Amino acid sequence: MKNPIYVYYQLDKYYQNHRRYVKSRNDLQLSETSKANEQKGCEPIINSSNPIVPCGLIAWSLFNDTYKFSLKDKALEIDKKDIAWKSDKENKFGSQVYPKNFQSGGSLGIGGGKLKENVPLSEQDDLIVWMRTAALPTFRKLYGKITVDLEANDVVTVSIENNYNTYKYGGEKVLVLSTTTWLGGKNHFLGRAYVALGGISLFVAACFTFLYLMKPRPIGDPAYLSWNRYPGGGM
Amino acid sequence: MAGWRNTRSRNGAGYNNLTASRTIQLGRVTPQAPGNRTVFVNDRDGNSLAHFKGNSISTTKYNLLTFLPKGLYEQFRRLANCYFLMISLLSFTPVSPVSPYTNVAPLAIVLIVSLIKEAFEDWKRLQNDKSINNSAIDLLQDQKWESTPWKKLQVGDIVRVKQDGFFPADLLFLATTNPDGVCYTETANLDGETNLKIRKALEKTWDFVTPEKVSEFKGEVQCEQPNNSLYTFTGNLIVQKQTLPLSPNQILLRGCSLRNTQYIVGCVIFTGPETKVMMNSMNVPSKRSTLEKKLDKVILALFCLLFCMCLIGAIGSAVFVSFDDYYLNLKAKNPSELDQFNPNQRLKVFALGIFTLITLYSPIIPISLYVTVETIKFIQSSKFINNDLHMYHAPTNTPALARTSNLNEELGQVEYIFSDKTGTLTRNMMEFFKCSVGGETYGTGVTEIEMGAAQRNGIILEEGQKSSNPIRDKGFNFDDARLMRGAWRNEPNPDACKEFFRCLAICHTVLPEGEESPEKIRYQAASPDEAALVSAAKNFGFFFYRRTPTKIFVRESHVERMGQIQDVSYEILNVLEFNSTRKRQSVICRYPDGRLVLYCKGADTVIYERLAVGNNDVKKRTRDHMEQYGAAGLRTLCLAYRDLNPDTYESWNEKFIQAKSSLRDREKKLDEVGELIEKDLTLIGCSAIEDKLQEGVPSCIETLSRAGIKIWVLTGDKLETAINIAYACNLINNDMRQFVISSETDEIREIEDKGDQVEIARFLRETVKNELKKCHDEAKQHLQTTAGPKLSLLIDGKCLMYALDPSLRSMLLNLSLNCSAVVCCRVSPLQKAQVTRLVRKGAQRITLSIGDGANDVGMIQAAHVGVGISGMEGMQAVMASDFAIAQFRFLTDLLLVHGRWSYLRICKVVSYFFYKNLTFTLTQFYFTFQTGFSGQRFYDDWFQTLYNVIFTSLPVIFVGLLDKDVSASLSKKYPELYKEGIKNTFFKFRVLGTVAFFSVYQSIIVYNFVTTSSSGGINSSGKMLGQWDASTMAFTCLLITVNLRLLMMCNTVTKWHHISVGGSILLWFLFIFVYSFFFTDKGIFYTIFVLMSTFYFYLTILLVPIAALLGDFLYQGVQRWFSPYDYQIVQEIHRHEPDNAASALLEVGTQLTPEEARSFAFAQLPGQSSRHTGFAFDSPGYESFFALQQGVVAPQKAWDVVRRASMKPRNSQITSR
Repeated sequence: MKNPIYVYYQLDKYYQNHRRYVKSRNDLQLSETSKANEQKGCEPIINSSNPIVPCGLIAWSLFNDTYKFSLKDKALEIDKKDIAWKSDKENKFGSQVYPKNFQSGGSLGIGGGKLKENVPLSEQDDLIVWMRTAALPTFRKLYGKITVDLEANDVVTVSIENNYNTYKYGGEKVLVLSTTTWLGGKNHFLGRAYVALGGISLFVAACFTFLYLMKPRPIGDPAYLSWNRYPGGGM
Repeated sequence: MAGWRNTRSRNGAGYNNLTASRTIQLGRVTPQAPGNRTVFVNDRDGNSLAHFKGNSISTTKYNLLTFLPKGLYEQFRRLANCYFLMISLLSFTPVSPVSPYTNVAPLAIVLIVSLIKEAFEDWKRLQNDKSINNSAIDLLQDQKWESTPWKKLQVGDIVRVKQDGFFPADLLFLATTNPDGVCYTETANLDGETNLKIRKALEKTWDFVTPEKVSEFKGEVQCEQPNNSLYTFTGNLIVQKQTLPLSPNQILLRGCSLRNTQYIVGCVIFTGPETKVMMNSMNVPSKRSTLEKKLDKVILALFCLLFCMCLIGAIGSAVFVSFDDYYLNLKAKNPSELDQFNPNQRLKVFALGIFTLITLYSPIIPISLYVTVETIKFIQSSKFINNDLHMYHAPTNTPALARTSNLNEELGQVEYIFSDKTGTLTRNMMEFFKCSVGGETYGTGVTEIEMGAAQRNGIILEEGQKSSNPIRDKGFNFDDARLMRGAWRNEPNPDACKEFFRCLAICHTVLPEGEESPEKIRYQAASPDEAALVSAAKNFGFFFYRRTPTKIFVRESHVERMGQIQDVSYEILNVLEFNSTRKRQSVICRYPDGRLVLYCKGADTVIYERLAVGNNDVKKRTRDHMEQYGAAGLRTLCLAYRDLNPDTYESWNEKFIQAKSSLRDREKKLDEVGELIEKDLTLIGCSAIEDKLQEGVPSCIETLSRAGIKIWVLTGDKLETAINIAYACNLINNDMRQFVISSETDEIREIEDKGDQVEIARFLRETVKNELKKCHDEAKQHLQTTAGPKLSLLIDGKCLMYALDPSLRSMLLNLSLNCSAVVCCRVSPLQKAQVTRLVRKGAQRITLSIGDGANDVGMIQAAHVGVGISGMEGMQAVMASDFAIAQFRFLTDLLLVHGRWSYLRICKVVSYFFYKNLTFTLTQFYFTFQTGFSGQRFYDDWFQTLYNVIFTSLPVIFVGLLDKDVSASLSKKYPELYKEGIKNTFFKFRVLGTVAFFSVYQSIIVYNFVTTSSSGGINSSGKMLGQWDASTMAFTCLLITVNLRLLMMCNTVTKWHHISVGGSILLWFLFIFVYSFFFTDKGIFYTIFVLMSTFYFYLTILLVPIAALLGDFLYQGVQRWFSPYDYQIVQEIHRHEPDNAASALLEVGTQLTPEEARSFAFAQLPGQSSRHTGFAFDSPGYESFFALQQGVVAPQKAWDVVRRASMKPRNSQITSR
C-alpha cells in the first residue's frame, strides 16, 4: 500500500442522524469567542451558570478510542493533520475559541472524549470530524493518515485503547485502512452501478432489436388506431 | 343558487321532491317584507322619518378593516389551505423537525398571491362604484334642476333624466317630453336585450315637465317593499285624494337608459342597494369540473398515504427509543424540556411522533397545485379559447368567450350534447315562407329539408313556378303571385285574406324604427318570428309604420279597390301578452268605423281549443296544411279572430281593469280574464316560417359523433319538424332503427277529444309505458347482435312527461343511452333541464348543453358544461352559460381542440404534481427508517420550501399551457382521438398507480444510490461526507430527475420547456452556491463546494437520473410499441409534417383577411366584451322559467301599452257619440 494510507474508524447502529442528536449543537459558540454563552439548541448538554464550550450532545459524545500502529515493532506515525474539511476548520470552528467547562461531569455525566483546554477548536481535528455528523447509522470517520508505504505481508500491530462504549447499544467498531486514487476512496458501488446500468441498457437494446426484427410494428400504421382495430365501436 | 345545486346533488329520490326543491330555487326572489313603503313625493322632511337608504352603492366585498379577516376566511375555506395552516401551526411546536418557515413560507406565498388578486379586483370594483356614485343627475331643488351626484339622491326626490342617460335609481315615471306620456328604455344592462321597451306615465302626471310645475307636485306613493323581481311592481299613487294603480309600466329601473326621448321626470322610489338591479346582483354559481372533483379524491388518497406513513414512523419511533443509546442522553433531567423520546412513555413517543412526521411529510400534499392549475386554466381560457380565430365569427364580429375558466378540461370529456334547435342548429333568421288562408295553401318555395327528404326517397323535386320578380326582403322569402300586389282580391276567399293580413299587421308587439317608408323601416321585435310576420304583412300591402301607445297605423293597399292606398289607424284597446303557458297572443282593436275585433295568434293546439264550433272543413284543411309545413321543417302559427260585441267587451274590460289594478296575483288574474274573451274564435289560417340550418352544422354533427359524442336535440317544435331537422343535420338517417314515442296518435286524440283529464293521464301513462317497454326490448335484441343497426329515439314532450316518472325513468334512461341519437320535441324548458339532469345523474357522464334562448337557460345550468350561442339576439342563454360561441359548428374547435388539449394538459399537470411531491416525500420517508424514526429531516428547510415553490413549478406551467399531442387540424381530422377523453384514459387510478409505482422506484434509486455512494472516502484526501453533504447531493439528483422526467412526458418540447427546465436546475445551483456560502451556522455550510471538489459527485449526478429514469423510459417504449395510444399512432402517421407548434404560441389560424383581423382585434378590446357579460342578473326568461314551474304565470313584460284606468272615460265618450 502506497502512502498515504488512511485510517478510519467505523461505527454501526450509531444514530448520529437522530433528531435529538443532530440539533444538539450551537454553531455560533463554536466559531466566535464572544458567543461562548450561546447554548441554544444544545439541550440536554448545557450548563446555564457555567457555559459549556462546545455544548450539546454531539461534542459531548466525542469518539475517544486511540490507535497506536507499529510495524515490525517500530511505531508508525499517525498524521492527524488535514483530516477535516478546510471549510469546517476555517469557518465553522474558531481559532480563538477554546474548550471550556467541557466534560466536567456533574449531573450530566461523562460522555465521550475530552478536549485539550489550551488548543483552539479549529485545531481540534478529531472534534471537527466528529461534528460533521454522518448521514447513516453505519458510518466511517477519518482517524488519521499513515505516511509510509506498507508492503505486502507486512504485519502491522495495532494497540487500541478501547475507551468508547459501544457495548451499551450493541454496536460494533471497525478499524479500516484504505488508500485512495485520484478519483477518491474505493467506491465499489458506483462502479458496479455504472456497469449494471450499462448492462441493462445493452440487454434492453438487444431485446428491442430482436423484437423489431421478429415482429416489427410499422410506424404510423393506421390499422393500429383503436377505431380501426375495433370497428364495432367497442372502445 | 344553493337550491339548484342541491337538486343536482340529490340523486334518484330527488326527482320526487322536484316541486319542493323548485321552491328553493325560487328562493332567489326574496320574500316580500311585510308592509308597504310609503314615499312622499318631493318631500324630504316627510321621508326622513322612514330612514330610507341612500343612493350610493358599494359592490366591494371588503373594506380596509374587513379585508384581512374576510379575505383570509375566504382562503381558508379551501381544505388544502386549512391543512397547511394546521401544519404551519404544528411546525411552531418543538415536535416539529422543520423550522416554521418551511411550511409558513409557501402558505404565505399562496395566500399573498390570492389576497393580492382579491384586493386588486376589489379595488377595481371600488373605482367603479366611485365613478357611478359620483355621476351627475339633475335634481329638482328650489324650482330648478341642479346637477347633483347620484349618491346624494334620496327617496322621494324628483329628478330629470336626459336622452341616453342612465336612470340613477328606480324611478316612478311622472312625465316626459314625448306626447302621450311615453318614453323608450333600453334594458341591455339588465337582460341583454337591445330592443326598446315602452314605458308610459299615468295621465294624471303627464303635465309635470317643467321644474316650476313639478315643484308643485305633491303626492304619496304606496308600494311594495324593495324586492328583486325585475318585471313586477305593485303600488298606488295617491294624488289629490285619488288612488291610481301603478304597474311596472310606470317604473324606470336603475341600470336602464333612456332612448328616443328628450328627457323624462321621475320620482325616486327605491335607492342604491334597494333598487331591483342591485337586489338581483349575485355571484354566478360556479361549477367545478369533474376532474377537479376527482382530484379531491386523489388528495384524500394522499392524506391516507400520509397517515399510513406517519403511523409506521410513529410506531417505529415508539419501539426504537431506548436508554441503551446513551449518547442521546434520553434521561432528561430538566422537566421543562419536552422529552419526546422518553423510553418510559412510549405512548407519548408514539403520539408526538405522529405530529412530528405529519409536519415532516406534509409536502406530499402539493400546496401549489390548486394555484398552478387555476393559473393554467385561466391562461388557457383567456389566451387560447378567447383568442382562437377558428372560433371567431366575422359576420357578427363575435369571438368565443370562456365565461369561466373552471371547466376547460371538462370540455375534453363531454359525452352527451343536448342541443336546442332554433337558433342553435338553425340560424334563427326567420323568413315568412308559406301560409294557408281560408283552407287554401300559398307559397311555392321548397325548403332544404324537403329537398333533402326527397333525395332520400329518390325523388327530385321541381321547385314551383317562379313569378317573374319575387319580392325579397329581410324575413320574407315568399313567392306566390296569387297573393302579391293585391292579387288576393281575386282569390276564392278575399275576406279571409284581408283578415289574415290585418291580423299579421295588428296582432304583435313590434316597434317600428327609422323612417316610415317600407324600404327603410326597421322592426324591433322580441322574436324574429314576429318581425318576419310583420314584414310579411308589409309585403302583402299592409304596411305597419307607426305605433303609439294607443294606436297602430297601417298603410293598406288594394283594400277598397285595386291600387288604392290608405292610412288606417287602429285603436289598440288591450294586449294579452304572449307567454309560454298561454302560447298565444291577442290584441283587441277598434277599427276607425267602430268595429271591435280580437285578433289572436298562437300555437295550433291552443288556438284549436278555442275555436267556435262549425266550419270544420277549413279547420281540417288548415290542420293538414300545418302538418305539411311541419314536415317541411317550417314553424307554424295559427291565426284567428273574433268580432266583439261592444257590450260583451265593455263588461269584460271591467274585469280586465280590475285584474290589472289588483295588487296581488295580478298576472294570474289577467290570464284568467284573458281566457274569458279568447274563445269562439274564427280560424283565418296559418303562417309558416322557415328557419334555416346554420352553416356547417351537418358536418360538425358528423365529426362530433365520430368523436363518440352523442347528440340529443331538445326542441319545442313539432315532431315532424324535429325529425326533419334531425335528418337534415345528419343526426338520424334511414339506416337507423327509429323508435317513435308520440302522443299524436289517433287513439290518444280520441281519448283527448272526450276531455276527461284523469282518463287522458291514465291512458297516456299506459301507452308510454307499453311503448317504452316495447322499444326497450327491441333495443336489447339489437344490441345483442353486434352488427345491428344504430338506434335512435324520438319522443314528444307529453310522453316525456310520463316517461320521466320515477317508475319509468330508468327504462327511459337505459333505452336512450343505447341510442346514438335522441330527439325530444315539444318539450318545455323544464323538461329540457330534467332530461339533462336525468343523463347527468343517471349515466354519470359528462353532459354539455348548448342553446341560445331563455328557454335553454335551465338546461344550460343543469348540464356539466353550458354553452350559449352569442352574437344573435337575447343574452339570457349566454349569461347563464360557461362558454359562449357564435356558431354551433365552433363546438368542434371548442371540444375537439381546446377541450381535448386542456384535458390532456391538466391530466399531465396533476399527475406530475402528484409524482414530484410523492417522490420527494418518499426519499424523506426512507431516511426516517435510518434515523431511528426520530423524524430528522433529510433536506434543509429551504430545500423543502423552494422545491415546490421555485425549483419545480415553472416547467409544469409550460406543460399545462403548451403541451399538445397532435396539432389542432389533426385533432379535427381524427375526431376519434376525443374518445380518450370520454373514457378518461389519462386520469384513471390505474394511470396514477403507474405514476406512483415509478415514483416509488425513482425515490428508491435516488435515496439509495446517493447514500451508498457517499458513504465511502470521497476524494483523494480520504475525507468523508457528512449528513448535509449527502442531503445536498440527493436533492441535486432528485431535482434533475424530476425536471428531466417532465421533459420525458411532454408531447411537445418547445424552447420554453428547455428554458424553464434548464433554468430550474440552474436556479438550484445558483441558490445553493449562495446559500451554502453565507450561512456558517448551518449544517449546509459549504456543502456544495465540498461536493463539487470531488469526482464522485459528478459521477453520481450523472448516474442517478439515468438509472431513475430508465424505468420510465422502458415503460414508455414498451407502451408505445405494444399498446400505443391512438394519439401516438396519429403522431407517427404525420411524423414528417412540420410541426409549427414551437413558433405559434397561440394556435390561431392566419387565413383572415386584414379587415377580418382588424375587426377581430376590435372585438378583443375590453369595451367590446360587454356584449357578452352585462350584468349577471336574473334574466327575464330565467324568471319566467322558474315562475312557470311554480304554476305562477310568467310575469308581465313592459309591452303592454294599452290604457288602463284611464280607459274608461274615453270609452264612454266614444259610445255616446
